[in-house]
Amino acid sequence: MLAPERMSPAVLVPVAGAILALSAAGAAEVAAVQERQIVSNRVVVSDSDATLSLEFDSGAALEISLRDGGVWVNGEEIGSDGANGELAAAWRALLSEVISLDYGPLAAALRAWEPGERVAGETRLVAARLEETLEAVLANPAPAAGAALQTALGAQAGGATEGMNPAQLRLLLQRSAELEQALQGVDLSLPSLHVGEDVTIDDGREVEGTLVVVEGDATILGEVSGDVVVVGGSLRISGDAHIHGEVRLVDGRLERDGGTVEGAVRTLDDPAVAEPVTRADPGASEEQDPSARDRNDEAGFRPLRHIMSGLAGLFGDMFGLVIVVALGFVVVHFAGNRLQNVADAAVASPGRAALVGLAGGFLLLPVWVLGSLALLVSIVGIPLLIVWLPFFPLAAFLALGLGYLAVAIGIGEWLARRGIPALDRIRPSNQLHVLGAGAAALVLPSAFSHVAEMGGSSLGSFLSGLFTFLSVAIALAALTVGFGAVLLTGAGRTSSVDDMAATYGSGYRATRAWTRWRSRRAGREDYGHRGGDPTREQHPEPEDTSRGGPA
Amino acid sequence: MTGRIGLICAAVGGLMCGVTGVAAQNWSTQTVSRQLAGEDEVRVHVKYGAGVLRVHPGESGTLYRMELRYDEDAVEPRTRYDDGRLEIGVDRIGRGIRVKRGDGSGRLELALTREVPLYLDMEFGAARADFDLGGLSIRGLNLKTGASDTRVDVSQPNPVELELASFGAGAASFVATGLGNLNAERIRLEVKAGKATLDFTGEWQRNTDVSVELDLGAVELRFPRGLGVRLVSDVFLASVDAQDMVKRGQDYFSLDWDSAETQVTVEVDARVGALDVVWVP
Repeated sequence: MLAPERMSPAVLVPVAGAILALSAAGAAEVAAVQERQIVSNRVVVSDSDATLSLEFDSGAALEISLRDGGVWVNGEEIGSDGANGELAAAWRALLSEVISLDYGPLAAALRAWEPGERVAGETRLVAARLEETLEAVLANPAPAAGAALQTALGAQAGGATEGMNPAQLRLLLQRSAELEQALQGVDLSLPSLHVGEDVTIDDGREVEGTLVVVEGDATILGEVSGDVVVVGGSLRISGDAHIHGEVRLVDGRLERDGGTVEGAVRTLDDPAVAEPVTRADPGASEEQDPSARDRNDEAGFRPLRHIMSGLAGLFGDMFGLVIVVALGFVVVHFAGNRLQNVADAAVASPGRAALVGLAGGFLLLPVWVLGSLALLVSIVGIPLLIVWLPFFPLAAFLALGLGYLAVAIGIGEWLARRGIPALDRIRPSNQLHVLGAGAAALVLPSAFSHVAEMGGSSLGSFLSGLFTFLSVAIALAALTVGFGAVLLTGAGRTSSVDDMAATYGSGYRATRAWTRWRSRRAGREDYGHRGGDPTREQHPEPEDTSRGGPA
Repeated sequence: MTGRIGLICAAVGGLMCGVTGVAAQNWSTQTVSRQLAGEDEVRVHVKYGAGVLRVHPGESGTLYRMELRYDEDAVEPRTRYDDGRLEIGVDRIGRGIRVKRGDGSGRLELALTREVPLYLDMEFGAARADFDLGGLSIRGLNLKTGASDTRVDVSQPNPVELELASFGAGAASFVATGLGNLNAERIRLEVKAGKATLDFTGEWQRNTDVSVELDLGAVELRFPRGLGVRLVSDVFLASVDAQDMVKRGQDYFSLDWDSAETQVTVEVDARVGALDVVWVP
């Protein structure tokens, strides 16, 4: 803390004067300075640039920039920043100091800037010009906060600065706006001000009048006859503490462990939460902000809530898994061979199945709509439309389900053949075994998501989202591949994609012949490009382009 | 084996050399602040691409205060205020890959006034975004995020009426709490992928219509007990877990829907994923 010694109550009045002295350079000039108020400020600091831009209410602007070894004021270079960058270093130090300040306090700090003794020679002249510029522009910034504080404190400001060091004054300037608001209506006839220091009122000790603590923590164990105002710090009321007036907090925190507050507890941030405080029982904490209490309660139950939510999700996954396995059992019982055929096709050509599934998925709706329209416009088709409308979506849904189960079987078989010790009970030849294992594997990312959710932290939440995304992506992929495999195998009528001619007829044969013709032609061109290949003659010509290849 | 190692070396070398614009980051900080000047309302547009974004209420008397940390070789700050219109963001100026120098990432912290009604239009793809909108006077809210972790907290009631609060999330995680404090006539959420949690606790001041569009992922709706909730769901490959709600016709209703002082109608259009309703005390 900055000042260990306690200030006398009488210091508060001169403090107001000090603020005004710093920010307004005298009360007599207040009226004139209203014209030059900083309305906007910008500070840019990088390795190569240190720029301050100010905008005043009159519309005027000032930009001082030290960059690339030069010093620039409103775009005009006025000199260099020194052989070793001494001026730049001093300027950067200033900017780093004022970067958290705005308006009046900013102006006061800028005016108080001195480049230091290390800046010498010609650079000293440049620095002097900078100082003059700042002085000229900021000579009389409007003391908005200072004036407000003056209002709050009454017209007692005397202009003295004794008893406070510059750092304390700066802190006071920074907090002047909040202090002004906090002191509204407070009896300041006997104030006790502490800036930048912690204060403890011991048990058995009494403070006459109002206790004001700025940028420090206050601990009350004894008695305060007036109000307690804390700006930018925490207030702890413990034991037999007795505050006869109100408690006002600005940007602060109240810790209560007993004690009595006769007045209200108010916070500047949200006056609505102010609540009247009756004489409190020791140990009671009824003055605590109710919303904060709710937040604390919520925080207390949050881990449990996450765990319950995660457990609920896990149970949901288990239930879903049971449903899938139960449905799979029915399908295996009645159409085990077809299911196996689809699974074999999905495993043999997953890429092709995915593409077909994707295309099929996109075509479902148009086919349904166009089919309905076609049936609608024909007299014969209208009765069929009654069947078509509900049964096509149902068939699509069943195909999706069949495909999903088939992919689960494929994954289960793959897992069973991995030789994983934990899965050695799963027999690859048993469809129910592999179906259960595959379905469980598909559900696993979702289960991980819920386990991560139980963690409750940001990382847990992120992992939960990630696994949720993964589970959805995997489910989508399984549905797409499975649906494609169902289409490729004619709902499991054949296990070999190559036998699809039996299912889809000449169109399929033509496609295969065309593909073969294209690959052979590409092979010929490749050899020709290389200037001939001795093995070329051994490749047979396209066997029959009339089967599908272009003439 | 040697051939494989050579291939890997070639690939790594190609990656290192083939990418143009590989450079270390050059961090700058910019702090901008502006005083209130009798504005009736302020329209705020924020566009921020990467890093950490934080928005919260500011000090009394200040219209806004922005603290930005950015790579000056890659992006250029854009801060413009004119006649009640505030634009904040960064414009990308560099190309290629930026190599982190180990001193963190970009950051934008924005404090906004509580004293003037705001129209907030925010678009960001930050790695993490935190919005503390408690106590701000919000007349319009449009928030689009591609962030991996986005949190919106409305810890205190909005003193002015908000016609539409729109949230668009393409994020892995989107959490909004205290939405009851928004004082909104309509709330709209669009989730592309990932998980979204909407917490509707707070001080409800009027009936509200909520619409949720979910493409891929999970949405959790958290309602406080006592709030009348009607859930209208239109789902494709999505599960709906409407805890403690009864189904009347096609819709779900909270048990005290008819007697509830404030009623919220939630329309859910979900494609693939899960929708959970949770009640909080």
